[in-house]
Amino acid sequence: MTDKSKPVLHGVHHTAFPTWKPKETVEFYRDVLGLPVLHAITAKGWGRDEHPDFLHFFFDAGNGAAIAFFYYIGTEPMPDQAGPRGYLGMARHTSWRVESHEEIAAWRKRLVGQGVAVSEEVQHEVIKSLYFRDPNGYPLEISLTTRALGVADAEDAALTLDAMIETFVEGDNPASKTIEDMWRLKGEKVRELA
Amino acid sequence: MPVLYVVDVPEFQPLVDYARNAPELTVSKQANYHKIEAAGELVIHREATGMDAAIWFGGLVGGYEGKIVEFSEDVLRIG
Repeated sequence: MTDKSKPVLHGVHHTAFPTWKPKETVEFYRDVLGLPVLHAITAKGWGRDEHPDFLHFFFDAGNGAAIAFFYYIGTEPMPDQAGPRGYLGMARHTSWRVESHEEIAAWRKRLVGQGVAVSEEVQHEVIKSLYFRDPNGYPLEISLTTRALGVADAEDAALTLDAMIETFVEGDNPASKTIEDMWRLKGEKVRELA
Repeated sequence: MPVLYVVDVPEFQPLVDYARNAPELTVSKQANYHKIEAAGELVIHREATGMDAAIWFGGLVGGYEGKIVEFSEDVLRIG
């Protein structure tokens, strides 16, 4: 039954990030990636001492989505805000959609041609991806969906999230639990399915 | 008896194909999952499945029964 009172989302409007490299950022997104510049806001810092004057500018990432940056004038760079090392280095990232194998190959060719360090195409469970970073160190990805997701995926995901919460949050001694414990609980849940 | 539940999706089908060709393993259906069982240890070698490591390491998402003896890039053993 559809809940008509439930609001829905229609995809990404924009995501935004701070930059302390305004020239390199513009050159990368506008020239290297070739994304059209959509809009630029320039503003006094809302009259507050702790809010610097700034620019806020937007690049077109396609299909109504934009990637945007804030350049806060006169602020000290905080490089650890962009690309942390280790497993967190790719966790907070932006992935853009392409629609065909030809498109993802064309992007890899363009990035290599522009001197960007880019991964090979990596096949994951349901997507194929390229990985690279912008001049700020922000992780970027270009993804091709390789199969449509269905009911089996959604129902399995729901059980997985239940198992995650029961194992690592609500169960006994959650700090001692491993992914093997979670998979075992998942197995119990699957066994009980009709 | 060790059991591996494999979600019925294309990327994990190589696990099911492997099990169907392994005389010591049996495959049945359980809701949207394939239930792979072994009388003794349940062993699957990654290379024989043809799966890339990135997907292989996600292959236990459907859960299992028993005890994981080994889950490496080369082999999965459930006892």
